[in-house]
Amino acid sequence: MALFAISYDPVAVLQGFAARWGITYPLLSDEGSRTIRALGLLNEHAEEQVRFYGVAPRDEHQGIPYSGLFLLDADGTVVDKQFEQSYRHRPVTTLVLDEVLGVAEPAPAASARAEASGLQVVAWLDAPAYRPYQKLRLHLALHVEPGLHVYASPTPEGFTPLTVEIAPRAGLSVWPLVAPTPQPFGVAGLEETFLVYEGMFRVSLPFSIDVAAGAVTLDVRVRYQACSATECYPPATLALTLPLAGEDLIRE
Amino acid sequence: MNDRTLPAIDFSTVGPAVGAPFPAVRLPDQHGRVVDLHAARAGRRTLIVFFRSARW
Repeated sequence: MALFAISYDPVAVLQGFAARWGITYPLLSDEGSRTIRALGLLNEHAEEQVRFYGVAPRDEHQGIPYSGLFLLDADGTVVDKQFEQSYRHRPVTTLVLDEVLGVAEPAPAASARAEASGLQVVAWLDAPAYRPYQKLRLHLALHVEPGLHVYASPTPEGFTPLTVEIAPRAGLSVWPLVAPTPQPFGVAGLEETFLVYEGMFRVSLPFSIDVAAGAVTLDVRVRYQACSATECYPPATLALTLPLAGEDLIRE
Repeated sequence: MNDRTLPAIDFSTVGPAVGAPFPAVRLPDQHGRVVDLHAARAGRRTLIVFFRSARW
């Protein structure tokens, strides 16, 4: 496996950055952004993105690439690419290892557990600490009691689908829930089939904390309704709390 | 932060496409040595990260 990182920084800046943080893989200097432009990766929305954050555009915002990465196979063919909608966001290492490189995640540093009618949930995070604008994932392993199912969206009228929410807090950004494809479930006597989850499955919710808020506690709510073929529990909410330490941005 | 939203960008059409060869890149590294990316990766799988800056 080879790794390269490309930015528009002059060699001297990259030299200092690499020395300070012990980086031994190549940091390539595209001063003037010629390569970034030639590859079609110039961030053409930089000014809008900067203004979105309430920042006045500066010269240094010109020439930046979109924030993202390419995975090449041994022949040099692009086999995956992942880019962020904002120049500020980037994934935590664990997320790249897992989703891009398919390397198994290390055991979670800390986890939370909860259970209620028909469902057990274990929750953990990609990393024990966040840095501002770094994308992490909340992971949930769910175990639906045998003989029961929980509903995925869209649900039949009057039923509650599985949803996962991190309680709103200053600077919280949340991406769509990543979940397996639900299975069709037919109810005897009804023509309609519903989408459900059964047994054990995992979901993840990417998020970032876009402020330097220090250590935080994430309050997670899992809302669902567990049913058998003939009966349902009332809708329920599982509450889990996960501690997350805060670290500063890494920069030269 | 204000109440505007970020522009939505479709990255499937931005930069080299999945399935296409990654173009030749020759740039100096942090030691000032010019690196030919494809020669340096020497037939290995490769991750190329684009980041905004080491300074800010």
